[in-house]
This record gives sequence, structure tokens and C-alpha cells, in this order.
Amino acid sequence: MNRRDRFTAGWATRFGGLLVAASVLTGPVAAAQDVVPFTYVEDNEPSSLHPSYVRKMVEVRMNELIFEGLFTTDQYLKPVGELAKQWTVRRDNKAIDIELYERYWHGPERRPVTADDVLFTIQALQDERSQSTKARAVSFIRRAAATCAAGTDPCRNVRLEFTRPIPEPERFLVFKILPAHKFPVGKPLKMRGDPFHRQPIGSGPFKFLRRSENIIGLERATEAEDANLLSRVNAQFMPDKELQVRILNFGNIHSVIRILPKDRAVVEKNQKVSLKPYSTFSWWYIGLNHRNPHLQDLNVRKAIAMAIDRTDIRKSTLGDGETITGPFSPRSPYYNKEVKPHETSGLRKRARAKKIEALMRKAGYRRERRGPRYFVKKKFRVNLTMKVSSDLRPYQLAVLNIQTALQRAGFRVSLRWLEASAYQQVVREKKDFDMTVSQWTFSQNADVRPLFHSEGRLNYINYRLKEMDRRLDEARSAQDPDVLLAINARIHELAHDDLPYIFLWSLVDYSAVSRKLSGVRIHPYNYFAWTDSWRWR
Amino acid sequence: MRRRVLIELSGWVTLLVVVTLIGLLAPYEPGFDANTVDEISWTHPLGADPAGRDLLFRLLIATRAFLLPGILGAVLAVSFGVLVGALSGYVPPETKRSRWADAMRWGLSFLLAVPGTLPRFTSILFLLVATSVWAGDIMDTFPWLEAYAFEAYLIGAATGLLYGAEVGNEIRSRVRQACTEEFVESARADGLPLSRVLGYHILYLQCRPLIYRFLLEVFAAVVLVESSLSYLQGFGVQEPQPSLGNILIMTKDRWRHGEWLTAVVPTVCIIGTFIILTRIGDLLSRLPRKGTEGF
Amino acid sequence: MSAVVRLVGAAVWLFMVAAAACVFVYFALSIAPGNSDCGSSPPALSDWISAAAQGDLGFSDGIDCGDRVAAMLYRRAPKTVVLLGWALAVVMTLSTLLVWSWRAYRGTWSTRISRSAAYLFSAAPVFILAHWLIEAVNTGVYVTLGELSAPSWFPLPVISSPTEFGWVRLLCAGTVLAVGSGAMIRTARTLEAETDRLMKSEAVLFARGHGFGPWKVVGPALVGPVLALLRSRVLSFFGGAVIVERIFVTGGIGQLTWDAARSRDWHALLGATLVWSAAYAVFVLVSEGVLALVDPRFRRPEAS
Repeated sequence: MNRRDRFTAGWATRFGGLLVAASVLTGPVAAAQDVVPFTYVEDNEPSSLHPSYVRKMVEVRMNELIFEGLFTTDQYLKPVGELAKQWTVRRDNKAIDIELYERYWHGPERRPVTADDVLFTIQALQDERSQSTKARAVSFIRRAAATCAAGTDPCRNVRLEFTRPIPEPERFLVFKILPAHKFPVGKPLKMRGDPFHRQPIGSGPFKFLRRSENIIGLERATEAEDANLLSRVNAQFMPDKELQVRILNFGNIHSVIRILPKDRAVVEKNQKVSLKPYSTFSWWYIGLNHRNPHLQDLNVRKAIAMAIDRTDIRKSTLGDGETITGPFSPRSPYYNKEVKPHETSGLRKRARAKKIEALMRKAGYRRERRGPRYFVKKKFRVNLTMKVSSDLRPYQLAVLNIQTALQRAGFRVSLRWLEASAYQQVVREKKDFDMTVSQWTFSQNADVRPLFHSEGRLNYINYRLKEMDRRLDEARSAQDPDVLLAINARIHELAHDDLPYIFLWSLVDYSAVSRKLSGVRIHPYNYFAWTDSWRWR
Repeated sequence: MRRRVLIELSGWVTLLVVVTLIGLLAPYEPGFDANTVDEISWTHPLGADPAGRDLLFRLLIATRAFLLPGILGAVLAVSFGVLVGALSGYVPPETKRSRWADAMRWGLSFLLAVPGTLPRFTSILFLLVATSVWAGDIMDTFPWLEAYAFEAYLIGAATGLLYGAEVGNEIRSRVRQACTEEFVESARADGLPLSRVLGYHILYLQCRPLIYRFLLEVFAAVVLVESSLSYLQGFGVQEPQPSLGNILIMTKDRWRHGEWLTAVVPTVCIIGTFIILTRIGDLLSRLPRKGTEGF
Repeated sequence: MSAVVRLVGAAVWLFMVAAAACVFVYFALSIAPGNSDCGSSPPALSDWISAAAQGDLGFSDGIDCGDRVAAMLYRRAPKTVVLLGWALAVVMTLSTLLVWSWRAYRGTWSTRISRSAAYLFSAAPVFILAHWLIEAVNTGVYVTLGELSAPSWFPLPVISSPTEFGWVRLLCAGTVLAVGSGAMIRTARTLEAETDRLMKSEAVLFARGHGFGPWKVVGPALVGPVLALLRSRVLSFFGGAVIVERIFVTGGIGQLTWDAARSRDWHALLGATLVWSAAYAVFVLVSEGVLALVDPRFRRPEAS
């Protein structure tokens, strides 16, 4: 606590006497507890802890603690076995044989994890009636079978056959395995109403202990060999980001998952925590609705891209990161470093304004005489509605800056914040929007085909370009990693030239972690994948 | 006494009106002012919020999000409440009663009772959840509405209607009570029309203080609901349109960065608004009628 | 007898009103855009009503996909009851004290100061007060106790374990609710006005003439107005509870209402509405009953 804080706190000491009494009445003091749970703070609560129905990142992180997949990634992001002990990939890349480790499901019965669990999980996820959000993660598996000799119990060998050749299939076999004995045989998973959503049973390092409103308690599943390992984990849910930063000062909270750029300076000064950067495989973009008559015109899209000084906005509002030029994270091998951004190709501010003017004139627009001099075409003003999910509320300064940049360039932009659930329906399903600011977060397997292919599942921007379709198809059928690299570089270039999105930036996220912990490494996607190295000092 | 009260009352009202007019007439185009102010200066006496927008200007524009919507809410509540309350409360003499009128009265009473069982804030929340996207569509059709905080009018209307039920209930019981009193009977016997008895003798003369009180209460409620909703950042007036709650949430922790003025002024503005409203309510209730000086 | 009939009539009336409130909420939600967090679609009204009539409020659609709404409400209800009970107790105690001191020391400086302070505090909306209180308590505890000897509930609103009830958070939230957004000053003023009115009434003069103290008359006569006051307070407190519960993260029904509205949890919202209007109906009935016991005019309406 610095001097100013102490000063501001001075008057509050009067509460002290009362609070001492209150603290004696309300329970044991923290120091008296023998096991200190590792406590981390999230913004919102998970709706479900069922790994087959993951919708929010908070659920991804909790699942990582409770469940295991066949494979996971090491700190160099290379696939390593998690449940898989040994495996061989068939030479044509169309099948894999896996032998599982000897692992047990949480709970007093100590049932072993067997091939049946793997088969059940794949079957349950593939069942359309399950409506699992992870169905796509197993869509490439054609057949799964146990490959033990008759009478082996428990059977730990499986063979998975794929619909098409999959190079490095380990990278895709990261979906979490479910305990088959907890589900009725031959029935689909339940989207809601199954107690498993609330009290999951996994085979991961931590088992579900207890849950109440706003907190979930986990406990190490097996006796830890090292007393300094995390033995208990509490996940707290607290919507107010400022409070999250504030309570870090007091030491009972050991980690805040995401520190906002505006709070970084405050946290940096805090002696109790250290800021841990972790680059996620995510990038921000402005989605443009290609049904909008204005935005159909490539010149207009280019002018819009020109109008936004991405580096400037990112630096002033979001902090560390990189401006991107195409649909990949700069950490991805597919990112084409040779493509240069539109707005900074050697142009100063005034030159850029001229270029925007020229582009818009080419597209048949002129400026209004009065007011802020917006662009008009045949008396129709460029009036764009930018719908943004309230999930981005913490980053609203960046969104406001984008709006201002566009308005100043002559595009009338109305900003609308929609609640996350309404956003999903209005923008993603009904496609009722002109522009949207959003971000994609990928696990390490970045596949942009669903985003830009005219039949893509996530192509909610109505984008349609034959050339793009062709290249995405090529990328899908490519076998050789080098060929794939080359094709993706071309996709990157094409996306940059044709601007289905305005690509914005990829950020470095910061997490605050208590200095009482050492060996903290954070997985860019799952966050908790490497907790085995976390130790109390 | 009356004079002093009147002077103070008109002072406060003038202040509110002037601030509103400035806020309404100031040239404002939403989304243009980010990154225009760096620090406190003579032209920007309160400095800027974290987005670099002039705080004083935003506070003035924020009056758009509560003064007119508040008036809308108050007027809606009172007109709806008085209409329905009078209709459902007026019981004609025994000889002229009809079953239809009874059924209508019962129905209206029921209508008035329903919003009363739900907490008002949650009812407003539900109404806003239902209408927020629809409000966005209206603003797409009429883009100029955006600069005038259209969502706040929605809140005003919702609050007004829900409060209307409460106003209606009070008016109803007052009217029902008045119907049994002698002056109504004698006025009817004198041949005065129903509209005159109900409108002047009962509603104007009897219910006037009640109506004044409700006008202010609903107004304050609109301001409160609007700022609470913007503070909780879900519904209500949305950035970049300023409202008191919006401004507060952006600036409330600036004191940690040494910007005390930025942090304190919006809080003072909100509390000040409520103090002024309470004070006006007080003064109105203390305002003696003409000629009853020293009562 | 007539009191019983009146109570039964009131119960039927309130039941119908509660049902209508649920229908209102249902229609408000059915036009709201958005998908529920568990991916389910809203229930048909008739299905929900028939299930609710059998005591089944269904499964949650968004807050916790694996939980029954009835279980959620059952777990959360005690917290909201404590919150509202504490808030009511605080507001009534504080405003009684205020009114007493205002009447006892009329016209003195202390009265003016306490009146202004009450105005000032009450003019602050609950969300501002909540913010201040959290800051003040956290800093106060830290400065006086230091981190190592700090109690387990510290800092606010952190929870130390899933079994914790969260008394401190609830009491803080309740206090804020009782004071903020004009709750206290409005209650005090109503109480003051009622007391003044009754003190000036003929009954008091009559009682004084017979050698009784005025409170013998005023006390029972105040029950009616106080109950009416409580009724309106409890309504507005529940609305305010949505705000303070979210800020203090108390995990009660108020927080559930907000979360459910955001995650489009149809079943939880309808369940919360039902519980709320039923609780309110019970509250009204009980207060009517108390009134009937205390106030002779209610016992024998023909006599008044």
C-alpha cells in the first residue's frame, strides 16, 4: 500500500474497531486455515461444466482442470499424450492406434478410464440429438473401435479411423473424454437438466468438490507427491473488473485471469502479484456485412480500412499486441509476414485522407455539404450500424475510437451494444448488422475455412468469393505441411486484398498471478494446461 | 413564507430548465469527441474522461438522458394513473349501476394490481430486455434519435407505465372515498355534469397534492433507474451517448490515478440531482395555498 | 367472521394477480431476442403453467444447465430473506430514531444537521453507496488488521469457500439498500407526517383529557401506516436488491434475476417471478392479518 492509499484510507480506520468485533464473530481467521486454496477470479459464471457443451472461455479453463483429453500440448505447443500413453499414426494418415495410460475417474469407486469411455465420448458427441457444441471436434472420425484381445479388462487400446487423411491427427484429438458409466447407454447427452453439468466427474488433476453461487471449489484428485503443489483451487466469479484489481491488493486472491489494459499500470505497481503475459491465438476484426450495398464495393471497404489507424488505436487503448493483416494470429505459422497493412503503406495522415477521398470518389460517393460532411451516394448517406456484443464492454475505449475514426473519415456509424445472447442471435444468426467488432479465439488449430468459405459455418458476413472458396478447398485437401503453409499464405494475402473483414490486431493478454506462486506458465488457450509446474513458494 | 418558498422553488426549477436547455440545444453528434481533450484547461474545466472526451460537455449532454425522459415518465404515469384510477374508482349511485361498468371497474382494478406485485426495477428490466433490440431498429430508421438518448425515453415510458399503476391505485381509493362524501352528492344533485364533478371537484381539488407528489417521485425514479441501469452496464443508454451512470462508471476509479476532479464531479452531479428533486418535492408540499398565510 | 372472509377474498385476488404477473413476464420475455446459454428454447406458457401447478419449475436454461430452478431458488432464498429482513430492520430503526430525535429536539442545530445528513445519504443511489462501502470496509480492515490477521470474509466481496453464507456481504448490502436511493429519508418523512397527523387528532386530545399519554392512542394507530410503509419498502427493496446483490455478489435471488435476464434463463426468471409474487402475496396477507388484530376498525368495518 503506497502513501497516498494510506492517506485516503486514514478516515476509514474508524471502521476498524467495529470490524474487529465483526471478524471475531464471523468465523476463523484466514491464517488459521491449514490449506490455502489457490483462488482465481473470473468475470462470469460457467453455465455448465460439461465439456461437451462449452460456450464460454471460463468453461474451457475449468474443464482443463477437471478433465483430460487424449492429447494436450507441451510448452512448445507440440502435441503430447495426456490420456494417450503410446500411439501410432497409420502411414496414410487415416487412422491412429492409441494405448491409454492407467488413469481413474474421480470418485470413491476409482473406475479406470478405458477404451469404452473414448468410444462413448466420440459416439455421444457425434450424435446429432446431443446438440453438442463440440460435435465438430469429432466430425472427422469415421469409426472408433477398441482393439484389445478378448477378455482384457480393463481395455485400454483404441483405434480411430478418419474420414480423410489428417496430417498430425494428435493436434485434433484434444476433446475431453467423458466417463461412460455416468451416462445412460444408447441415449444422447442432455443439453440441460443433467446433474453432470453441475457436478462433473473427470480424470484430470483436480476433482470437483463443491459449488455454490459465485464460487466453485476443486480439490487435487490424487495425493500430491509435492506439498507445494496446488492442492485446492477456488474459482470465484465477480463481474466488476475494477473490484477484481482492487482486491488483488489484499492477498486473498491469487490470480485474476485477465487484466484490462487500463488497469495494467495499477497492477504493475502491486508488489504482491506479477503480470504474466500470454498471447492467445485470437485476433480482433471488424466484420462487414457483404449484403450491405455500400460495403459490397471493395473501394469502400478499402477506404474504411484506410480510415482506421489500427496501431494507434491499439496502443492508446489496448496495449501490447500486434496489428494483423490477415486472418491468422501472428504466432501462427500461417501468418504471412510479407503482407503490409493498408493504412500505413508509407502514408501520413493527410495523404491517407486523400487516398480515402479518391477511393470513395472512384466508388461514386461525394461528401455532404453540411455538418460533419458524411459521404453520400445518390442522396443516400453511408449510414452504418455497428453492433457490438456487450462482452467487449471492458474494451469499449477501442470500440469508441474505431467509431470516431470512421466518423471523422466521413462514414456515419451508429454504435449499438447488444447483450451477448442477443448478439448471437441478431448478428450471427439473423445477420442483421452492417458492421461488427468482434474477435475469434482459436485453439492452436486455426482453420479459417468456416469463416470465409461461401458455405462456411461461421461465415455470418455473407462473404462469397470464388477465388477464396477455391483456395480454402485446396487447403483442406492439402497433405503436405509445406504446401498447406503456402496455400495459407495465399489465403492471407487474398483476405488482405479483398477485405472480407477489416483485420485489426492480436493482443497480448495479461494475467495477474500472486508472487506466492512459482513456476507459473500459462497456456494460451486453456490457461490451466500446465498447472503441474505451479508451486507455492 | 409562501413568497420565500416560491422564490426557492423557482430557483431550483430554473436551474433544471436552464441546464436542460443547454444540454438540448448544444450541438452534439455522437461518436465524434473521442481523444479531443488531454488535460484540464480553461476550455475544458473538468478535464476529460478516459476516452479523452470533455467531461463538462458530456455532463451537460447527459441531461438529455434524464430530464425529458423523466418528464415523459411523470406525465405518462400521472395521466395513465388518473384516467384508469378515476374510471375504476368512481362508483355511481346505487340506481345507476350496471353490471358492465362493475366488470370494467373490476378489470381495471386488476390491471392496476398486477404491476404492484412485481418489484418495479425488475419489471423495467424485463421490459428493456424485451425492447432493447427493437429500440435499436427504431434508431436505425431515425438516426437523429440517437443523439437524444432514445433508450432513456424507453426507460421513461416503462417507468411511467409501471408507476402509473401505483398512481392509479392511490387515485382510485381517493376517488372511491370521495364518492361517498356529501359534497359530491350535493354537486350531483345540483345538476353538475359528471365530468365537472369528477374532473374538478374530486381530481383537481382533492387529488392535486397527490398528483404533484407522484410527478416528482416518478421523475426521480426515472433518473434513478436510468443511472442504475447504465451503471450496471447492461441496458439503458449506451456509449457513446452520455448519461449520468455511463459517465460515472467510466470515471469512478480515476482518483486512483490522481484525477480527483474527474472522479468526484459525476458523483456530485448524481447526488445533487436527487437532492434538488427531493428539495423541490419538499417545497411543493410546504407551499401553502394562497390566502392561507400563517395557516 | 367478516375478517376471515376478507382474508380469503384477498388471498384469491392475490393469487390471480401473481399468476397475471407471471404471464406478463412471460410475454415480455417471449419477445426478447437472444438464445439461452444452455441452447434451449423458451417453454410454452401452457406447459410451464401446468408444470408449475404441479410444483415443478423445470430446469435452468442459462445460469446452471444442470440444476433445477426450484433447487436454485431454495438455495438462494435464505440470502435474499436475510438481505431484505436486515434492510427493513435497518430502515425502520434508523427512521424511527430520526423521527424521534427530530420531534424531541425540534428546531435545534442537531436536528438540522441530522436532517441534512439523512438527505445527503439518501440522495446517493444505492450503487454509489455500495461502491463507497466496499472501498471503505476493505481499506479499513486492511489498515487496522493487516492481511495476515484479516478475517476470512475479507476482502469484500470475496468468498472464502463454497460453504460460506456470506453474512458480512449480506449485511453490508442490506445496509446500503436501507439507506440509499431515498429509502431512509422517504420512510422517515412518511413516519414523521403520520405521527404529526395523529398527534394533532382529536383522539389524542381526548386521551390526554382522560389522563393517558398520547402514545397509547398513536401507537396502535401507527400500525396501519407502518405496515403500508413496509409493504411499499419491501417492493422497492427487492428491485434494489437486484442492484446491490450484483455489486456485492451475494448470490441471492436478486442476482439470479439479473443473471437470468442476461443469459435468457426463461425458467429461472419465471420461477423467480412466481416466488416473488407469492412471497409478496403472503406478506400482504400477513400484514392484513396483523392489521385486523390490532386495528378495531378492521375488525368491525361497519363500526368505523
